Amino acid sequence: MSRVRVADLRLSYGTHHVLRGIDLVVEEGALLALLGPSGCGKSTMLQLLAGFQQPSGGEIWVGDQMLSSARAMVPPEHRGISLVFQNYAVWPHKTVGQNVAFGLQIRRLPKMELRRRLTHALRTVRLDHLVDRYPGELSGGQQQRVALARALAVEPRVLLLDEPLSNLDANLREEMRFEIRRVHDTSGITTVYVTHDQSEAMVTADQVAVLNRGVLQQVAPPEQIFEFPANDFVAAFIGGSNILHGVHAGAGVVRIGEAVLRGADYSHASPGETVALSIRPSRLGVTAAGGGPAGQADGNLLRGRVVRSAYLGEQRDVLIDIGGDQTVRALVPPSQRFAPDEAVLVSLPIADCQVLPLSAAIQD
Amino acid sequence: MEGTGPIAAGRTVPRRRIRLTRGLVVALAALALLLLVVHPLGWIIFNSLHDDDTGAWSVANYTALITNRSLIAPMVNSLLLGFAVAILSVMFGVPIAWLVARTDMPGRKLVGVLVLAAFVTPSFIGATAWILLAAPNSGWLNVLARRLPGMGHALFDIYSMPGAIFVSAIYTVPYTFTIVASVLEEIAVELEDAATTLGARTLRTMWSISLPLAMPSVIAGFILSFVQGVTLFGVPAFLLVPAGIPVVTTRLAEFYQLFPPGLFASAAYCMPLLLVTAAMFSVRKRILGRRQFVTIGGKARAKRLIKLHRWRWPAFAAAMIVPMLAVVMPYVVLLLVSLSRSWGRGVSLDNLTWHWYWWALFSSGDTVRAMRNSLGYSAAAATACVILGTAVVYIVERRLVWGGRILGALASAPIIIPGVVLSVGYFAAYTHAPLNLYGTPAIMVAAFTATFLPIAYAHGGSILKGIGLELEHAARSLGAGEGRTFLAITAPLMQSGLIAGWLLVFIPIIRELSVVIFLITPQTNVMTTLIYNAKDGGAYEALCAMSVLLLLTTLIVIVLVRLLSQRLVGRRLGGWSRTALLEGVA
Repeated sequence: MSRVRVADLRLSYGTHHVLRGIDLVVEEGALLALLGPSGCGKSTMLQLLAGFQQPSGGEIWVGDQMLSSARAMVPPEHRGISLVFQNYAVWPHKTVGQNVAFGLQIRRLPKMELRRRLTHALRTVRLDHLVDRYPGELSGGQQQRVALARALAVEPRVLLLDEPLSNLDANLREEMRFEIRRVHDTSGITTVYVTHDQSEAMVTADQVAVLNRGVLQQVAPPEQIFEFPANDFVAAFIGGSNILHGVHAGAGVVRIGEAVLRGADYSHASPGETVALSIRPSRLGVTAAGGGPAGQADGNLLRGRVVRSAYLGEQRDVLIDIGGDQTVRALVPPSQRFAPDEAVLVSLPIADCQVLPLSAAIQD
Repeated sequence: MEGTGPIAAGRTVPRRRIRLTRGLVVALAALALLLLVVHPLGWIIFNSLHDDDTGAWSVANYTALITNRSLIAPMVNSLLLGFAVAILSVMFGVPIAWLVARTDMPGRKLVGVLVLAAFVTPSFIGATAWILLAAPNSGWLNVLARRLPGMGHALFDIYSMPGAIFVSAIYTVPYTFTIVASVLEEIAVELEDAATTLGARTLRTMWSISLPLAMPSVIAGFILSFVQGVTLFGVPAFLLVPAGIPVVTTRLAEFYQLFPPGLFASAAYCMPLLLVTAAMFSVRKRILGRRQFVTIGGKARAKRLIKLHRWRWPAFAAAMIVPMLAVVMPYVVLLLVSLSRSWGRGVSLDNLTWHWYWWALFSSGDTVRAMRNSLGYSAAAATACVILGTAVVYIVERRLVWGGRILGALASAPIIIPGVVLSVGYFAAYTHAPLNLYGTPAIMVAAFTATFLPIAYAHGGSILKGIGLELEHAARSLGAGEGRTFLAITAPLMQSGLIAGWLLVFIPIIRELSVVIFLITPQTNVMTTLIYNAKDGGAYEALCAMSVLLLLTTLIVIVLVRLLSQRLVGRRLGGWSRTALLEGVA
């Protein structure tokens, strides 16, 4: 009864389209991460789910109830959807206990039941010892957990998390990722988690939905989204992959300038269309161009010039200009040294190359 | 999963009830604004287009504005007064603000408190004190000066344009001071550090980073001071009328002393004043609109103060000039005179008496009634201001209804209306059937409320902006409706700010004279009007005693409210909500 279904959801201000027809399902009890760069519409999406904004088109359903459409809206207080904010939004004039108990008081629970659920919620986030503190006396991580407990205590149908960790420092963030996953596993509440941090999404989510410029790019489990990105945007955003644009020249073949490269073809493109060849920086091989011939039979090869090379300890990060205004980034063993402007040969193993459609094709 | 309790999702929405509460609040706020602002102003415009003698439609009142010399001269004088006051206010206010906010000058707190005291002091009481100090014959400073060898004549003549400029300016400095000081305090250290790391010396940094950042506030202070100078009524009435120099505000009062009173002519004569203030505030808005000042804050960190070294004490002496002239000397004089049998006999033990206080508190029913009225009306009006201002701010900021901004504009409109003009409007609107409120407390409270509503509105806005929308949304998503969210979350969070806001309007209301000058009756007299009218009797000792009582009353209220707000706030918000004085005016 708490399956979330979003159908053709749209939001526009005049000619400015924030969301352009989102279709999405979050299964009951699942944790979906909504991932995308800033300004992609993911926070807006959350506002729509929570009922603070009305869509200009499409529908939002939870279970068998329609919550939002361009014509009708269930107000936020009647949705049974809890929201955890980026800046926590813990009320400074209420103690931890009062914050968490607020939603329970609204529901006029009997005293015993209220106590029980308050204690339970605070235990879940391990804050039961701070019940009488004011938020001003808590650390950022503790405040975040108060916000989480407050949202969980009312046992909502759906829990929304809006970049919940972005205001925490790096160590705490790592810890809280697992904490949120643990809390989700114990409560089993259908959850939508908005973030711009892909590793956060990978750790916490059952499903990852990648959003860019108001368009859903791909929805899939973390592994699949990493291994099989749907298009060049997802490949670059999730895996940090190199994206080389070229012309489709038959199944699995891409022509980039003079060079012809091959890879596993997921593009469904016809010859002549522009496609992307994607490969992770760690899979590239770089050798000094000792006059060896380009385009050997056994692999993809590109000629290029080193733009810069940076020593990262475990690896060396080399940026190579391959002509035609395109560059590739390679992570190579630190033992390999390159001077700026040095001519190099880049090898792109066919097994690691994917031919992908362009995300721009589904824009506008 | 367990059930979600009585809020069970999917319950049908009691939408009608939400709409009803919302509609009622909006309708009440709109009605209040209509009665408080639109109606009196409408009457001014309507009356200004009628002839006093015949009662017929006419533009004669307006043609008189540009042809009648006795009407033009006061305008010139008012502009002169305004500019001179503004220039002096900036000349003194800005350096004092800088010394207090950014340097290690000794006695910074003392200077700050004394400037605040100058703000609390009604300027016409200051003018009274300066009459006692510098009236050409009897003024104490002149008496002293005459004793100096080779000095046979009076040194000062307070009954003059320079005298009025001087007194108006020392009581206007607090405006510039407060606005500029609060901005200088807010400027992020990082912005200055950035200049320092590029090799700028301290003074250079001040000159090219801090002052330009504070510049909009300096201009705001200048404009506010100018408007003060143009719209002041008490000081010119005390100092310029005896000298036969008319300004617009005193000339307006003259229309009411004619027989029959020139009510319609006075309405037209309000217009130039309204135009000037409106123009000034629109200029100010333009300047501030583009560069939102005050928002240049960074992290709250201890400021690095600029070391003055051997200039510390000279700086202190310079910073004390205005507080001395505006607070210390006048208060000493007021106290001494109020305790004298006859002030002309100077200060001596046998001249000492409690008589005037005794008289004011126990024999003269007028004073006690006026004090009661002052306290009652001021408290009622301050409360009304805060409630109405907060309601309108909430409607505007949270966009409860379409067109809410119109309400916001109406709530801030009185800021451009000089007190005397508003008094004219209230006299026209509420002294005849069907809304004859003349002689009732209602008209007094309403006039006070309208005058200071803009401060409450602006202040409420700054409080509400400090309360993130998320705090309200969090409550909504947990099942609280609009009304409940306001009562449980927004209102308590605004509380400490609203108490400060209450005080912020209470202080100017209790010292306000001009807006009720045409509205009082013996029954509804307040302290300021009582003191103003007592001046004609020439009993300065009684007048001083009443002034001291008014100042004491104000002080007691300030202290009580401060204590109350401290107890209310307690530890929970510790340092969370900080309110600068004059935030609203600025």
